[in-house]
Amino acid sequence: MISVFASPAMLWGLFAAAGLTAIYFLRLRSRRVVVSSLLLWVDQRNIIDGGRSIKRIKTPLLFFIELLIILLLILAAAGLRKPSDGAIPIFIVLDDSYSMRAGTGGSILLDDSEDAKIADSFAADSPRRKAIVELADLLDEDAIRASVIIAGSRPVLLGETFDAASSVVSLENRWTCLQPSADLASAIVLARQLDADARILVVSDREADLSLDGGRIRWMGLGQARKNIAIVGAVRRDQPTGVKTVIEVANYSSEEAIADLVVRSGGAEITRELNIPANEIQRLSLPLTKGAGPLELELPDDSLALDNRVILLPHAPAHLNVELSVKNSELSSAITKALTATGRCTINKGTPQVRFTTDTEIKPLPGCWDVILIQGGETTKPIAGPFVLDKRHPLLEGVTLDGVVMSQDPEVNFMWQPLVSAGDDMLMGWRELSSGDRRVALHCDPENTTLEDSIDFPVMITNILQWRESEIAERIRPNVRLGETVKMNLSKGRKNCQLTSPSDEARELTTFDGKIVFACDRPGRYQISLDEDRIPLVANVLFRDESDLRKTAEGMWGQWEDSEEIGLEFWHAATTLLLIAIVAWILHAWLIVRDTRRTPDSRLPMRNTPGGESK
Amino acid sequence: MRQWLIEGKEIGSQYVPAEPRRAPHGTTGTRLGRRPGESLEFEDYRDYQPGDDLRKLDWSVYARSDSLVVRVFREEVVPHLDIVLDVSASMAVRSEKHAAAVMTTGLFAGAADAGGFSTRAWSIGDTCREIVGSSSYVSGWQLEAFDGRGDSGDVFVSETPRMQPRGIRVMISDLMFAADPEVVTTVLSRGSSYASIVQILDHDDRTPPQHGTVKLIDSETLAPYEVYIDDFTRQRYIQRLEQHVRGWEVACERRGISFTTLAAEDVLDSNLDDLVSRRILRAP
Repeated sequence: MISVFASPAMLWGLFAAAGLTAIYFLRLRSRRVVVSSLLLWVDQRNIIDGGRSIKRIKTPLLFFIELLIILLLILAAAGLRKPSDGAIPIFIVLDDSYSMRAGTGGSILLDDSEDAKIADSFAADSPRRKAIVELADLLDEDAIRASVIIAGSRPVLLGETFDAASSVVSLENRWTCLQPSADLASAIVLARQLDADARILVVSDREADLSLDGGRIRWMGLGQARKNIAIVGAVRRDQPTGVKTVIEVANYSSEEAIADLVVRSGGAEITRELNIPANEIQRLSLPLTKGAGPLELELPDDSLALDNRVILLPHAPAHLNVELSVKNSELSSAITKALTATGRCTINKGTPQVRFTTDTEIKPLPGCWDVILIQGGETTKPIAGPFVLDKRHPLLEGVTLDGVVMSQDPEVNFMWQPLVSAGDDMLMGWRELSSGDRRVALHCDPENTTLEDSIDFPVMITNILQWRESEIAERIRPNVRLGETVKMNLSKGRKNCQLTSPSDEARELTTFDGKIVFACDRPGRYQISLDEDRIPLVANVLFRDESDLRKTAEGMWGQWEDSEEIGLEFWHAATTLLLIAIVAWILHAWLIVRDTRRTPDSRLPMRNTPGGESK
Repeated sequence: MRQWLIEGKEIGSQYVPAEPRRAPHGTTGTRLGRRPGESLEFEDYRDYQPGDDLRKLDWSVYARSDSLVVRVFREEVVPHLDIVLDVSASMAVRSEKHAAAVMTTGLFAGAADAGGFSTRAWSIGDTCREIVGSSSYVSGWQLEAFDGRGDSGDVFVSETPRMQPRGIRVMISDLMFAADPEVVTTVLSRGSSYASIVQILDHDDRTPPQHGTVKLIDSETLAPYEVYIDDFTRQRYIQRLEQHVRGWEVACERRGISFTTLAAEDVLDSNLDDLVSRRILRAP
């Protein structure tokens, strides 16, 4: 049954209206009285001018106002809904992750990802192609007015409205399915923020992992569990002694897989046969000679082509000068060991770019970042957690602090931006100096902490050096992952900065505060042009969750309210109704006050009253 | 209706109309007037005044004394009562009021008969006409139905009955019409020696209905008027009635007309104190 009210139970309030009507009916039921003349009842002027005029009593006006107020309040409480204007408002959330490309016959797209080719690069039986057909059918069969949200790492709302099967065509070049992940939850939240009562259709290749109660979300899964062999990890480091690479190839299937990995470098090509057990990730190291050019790795076609190819550009990490002035020998030894392990720094030689010190009063040195290790005094205490970590910060990438006991001296406070805290106690923080240099503070007393003995300590040291390195002008990591945001500091005097994308489209990059920032939203080779200099960059597709197609599923989860209900949309008129009710109430009060104050003397004088005629 | 008329006549026969303050000139009758007239009974002499009828000069006195004197005779008059009865529908809106109106008419007819007055009665409803048989005994009067729908006051003014000059006149009505009291009283008093207006109101005329919604029907025009009766409405009606009556009182006072309002219930109870105290009737 169609309900045009959100809270039909509130309609019981209509009994109040019925009661009011009954009261007025009983009160207003007139009795017939024959009088000698109406002369003394009605205004003389009415008799003279109007003849047989019938003058209705005024009291029902109050009744109608009271009835109006009651009805307005009931409608406001019941949540009146009105029929839609023929089209059902709906948000379609499209999974933009690249697993939607899975199927037979897809393209790799790594070298040439022009828009036209992207549209043709989907496998014929991919969830994305199936979804286009399903959406066209949906828009063709029902009167639907759809808005589309592309759910990648971040949801993006398309400006146009889709109300016919033909309009789906415009999705071909905009729904590229090249995102490393799909934040469907955020997309649903965005849809609800835009219209809390709209229906939402989620199109994905996965099973619904959200609560679909409420009759507002329908989840369409178009995936199909498939076997997939993918390159899920690829690291290259060019060192003075040679080039080290680590490659991870995953076998996402329940069967042992044999795959030929093609390796190309400097014009040479070799094929290496991989025998990967079921559900395993195989790591292999490919030694390259010093100064080797780009390394290309390629697996044979399978269910998902996009993750079968990787390009690794030469990457020589910067060599940083580090000054170490830590009094505690145990702590100093741990830092030295961690710095040495990075292989990208020289300790206590040259002008320092990073200083590790236990001196909390150390003076800033231009161009040098300081890591202040706070040992504290007798009030230092161990803290076992739990710890709150700012996982978004590059210093804590890969840091978990699981099982680590941290230390903290309550007497030493620094109100910096927190990185690690336990309750109200800040254990690690950072700040930026006016010169642009940065300082990191870390409570670390070897007698009260196990941090220097944990795996997290060398990770932190590595992150510090990497963070510092990333801030060196015009240095970037040339091998990034798809979707990663690249930041690069520019040298002073740089004016022109241009980015060439994998589809050979060049665009000017805006410089802000001496930096350029851009996102690698397509896999393949990029090139940054700084005046005459060229900096290469490649974005590889390396995401385990997306390459694992065993989790994809087909089906329909959740249901909208029945079709008749869909034909109604909420009419958020409660505020308007209440305002009208207030105005009516004020009018009601005014009428009562006016009638109360009115006295018989204010009426027209009788015609027969002496002097009355002249008035 | 005839029964009420006879009953009123019997009550009225215990009274006589109050004597007129003025008597008409040039008429002969069986009673002596209070002022000099033209009867054969000589009363006195007085000096001639310009404008006196030269035929009344006593030429023999003039011959003896060269002075002009006029013979003054005691006037003889025949008292007459004109009764003007409002026969509009409002006068019969309720039986008590109807009976009181008819009884009051009979009462004045009886009083006139007891006082030796000749009587003539006129009805004013949709038109003004003489009541058939009103010059004879009351039982022979042929009263018409009380069904007038027009404004009785306007009818009285526009179709003024041929009432006896210098006679006594009495109008019996509820005065529930919109005609101007000044005009009506002027017409009534013009040429009369004495006039009075007796307003008949019953209880419902004096007291508005109780609280509640009422559809009022005008007894004459049958026009409906729906109103919610509350204290304000009741107060307003009573005030308007008082103003209405006061308007008639003032108009009557200006023209020397006696005015009184009788409650229909009092008439039916033969309570005529108001008529006596207002010197409209008196004991013989």
